Amino acid sequence: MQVEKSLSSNVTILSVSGRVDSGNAKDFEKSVLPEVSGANNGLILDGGSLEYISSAGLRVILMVAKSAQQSDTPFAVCALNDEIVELFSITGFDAIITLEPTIEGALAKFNSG
Amino acid sequence: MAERLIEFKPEIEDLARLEGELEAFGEEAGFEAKLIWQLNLILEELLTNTLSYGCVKSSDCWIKVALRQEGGILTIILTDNAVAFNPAVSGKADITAGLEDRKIGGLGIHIVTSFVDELAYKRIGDVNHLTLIKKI
Repeated sequence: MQVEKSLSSNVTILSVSGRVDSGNAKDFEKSVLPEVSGANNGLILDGGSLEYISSAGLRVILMVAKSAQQSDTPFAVCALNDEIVELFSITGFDAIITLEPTIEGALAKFNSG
Repeated sequence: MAERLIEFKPEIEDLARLEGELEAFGEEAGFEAKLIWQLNLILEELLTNTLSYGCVKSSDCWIKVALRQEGGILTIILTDNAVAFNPAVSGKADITAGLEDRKIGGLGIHIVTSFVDELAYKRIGDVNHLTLIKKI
């Protein structure tokens, strides 16, 4: 699991790659949760290279979404593979977290909103 | 038909072997990548639960996973000597509350039950027996 940070139009993009499981969910949390406070213009979690995530990782995404909501920070998760999109649906995460097929789509949404 | 028995030490770190074991089994059984992915998730959720809550006080805890594919049926049998736990009657996960009120508890078992067709639990002596059946 790796998390890389970049900026686009002042929006923070965190690109996560590899596998997030119970063995490294704590590292994932340390890499992404503190980024919410500095991402006033929006935070995108780019899952384009995310291969696998279990409930331990979903828990971290929920914490990020709650933190972003509290600080009025726009938040979206992008580019998930089909299996992970299905997992978001099964767990009802798709009803509380904005999913976008592409980073560009999320950026456009942030800028229009 | 394909069969595989995997034994785990009572340590989260040992679950790192899961992916490789399942890929080897999946290849032998001719599974699609998606099915191996789901099987990985099912087992990680169950084993993480056992290791996090069931094995805490017993350093001599053991866990075994028996996988068997025959025709269109995948049978997963988990046995362990951890604290008695019946996933079939564990609390329902919260999957409908709004973001503010959403709680994370129970998601793992919810994921497991979503991906299998049958789940049966029995406690025999000091051993948990969990049988999962997935149609493939």
